[in-house]
Amino acid sequence: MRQEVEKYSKPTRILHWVHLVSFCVLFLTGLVLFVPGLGIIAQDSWTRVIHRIAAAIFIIAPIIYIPLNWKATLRGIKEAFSWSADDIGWLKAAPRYYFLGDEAGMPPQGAMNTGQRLWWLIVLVSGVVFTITGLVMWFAKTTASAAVLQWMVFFHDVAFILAGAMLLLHIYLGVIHPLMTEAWKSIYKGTISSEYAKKHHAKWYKEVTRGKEVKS
Amino acid sequence: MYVLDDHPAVYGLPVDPQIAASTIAWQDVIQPIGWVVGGLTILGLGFNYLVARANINREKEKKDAARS
Repeated sequence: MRQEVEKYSKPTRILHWVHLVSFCVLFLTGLVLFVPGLGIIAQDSWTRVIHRIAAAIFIIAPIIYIPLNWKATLRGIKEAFSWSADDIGWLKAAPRYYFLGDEAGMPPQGAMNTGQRLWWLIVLVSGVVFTITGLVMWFAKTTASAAVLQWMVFFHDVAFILAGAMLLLHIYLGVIHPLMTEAWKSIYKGTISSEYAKKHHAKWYKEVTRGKEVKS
Repeated sequence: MYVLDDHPAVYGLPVDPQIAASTIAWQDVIQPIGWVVGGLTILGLGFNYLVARANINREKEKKDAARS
């Protein structure tokens, strides 16, 4: 019999999907300003209205989630900033795994592997940068100086390039890469099989079986 | 195009106009970097897909062959 372990609770999965959809909308409506050739789509500023609606959802969703899931939030933030020598080993072994399907050299991983944790860190940092620079551009449009607003655009775009490229990688690994099957299940249904957990999240699986883990 | 008959200061215009650093940083640095990063990401993912799919199919065939 296949045994399943819970990886992501329902609130976490809902936050993931709400945030992902709002970010994709922000990505596309922002792209028309980044690519001069697409500027024509932004005419009559209807893309700006959509961008702002999605931005409101992007900011409000975690504000609702955090106080209701305080433990999972703390655990998540702590995890984003815990790095060890195993991460270097993971980065070295990753190309052989993702290109050739060879898992031999992959060091044991926690609830998130090095790549997932790197993306998670970028989500946190870029989320803060997007929010601050975006709110300044939105609400201080007439009061801030031109130089300040231009630097806000600059940092908004730096975050956009970094998070946007990583978003493509995230979607690719979650949906398209031939080896990724359980990662998708973990964020869709919330569970992964215990065999997969043992193989790919050994450190986390140990915590789960000891009953010590805090759910994420 | 406008031609000024006198010194720019007479018209209240900047004497030595400069392009803001933030404009240069956006137009000459961030824009091209964005194109390169975006392009390389898409190419890299496409390349990974082709290589990974071919390898994983080969592994599967090997396994199937070993089983039969």
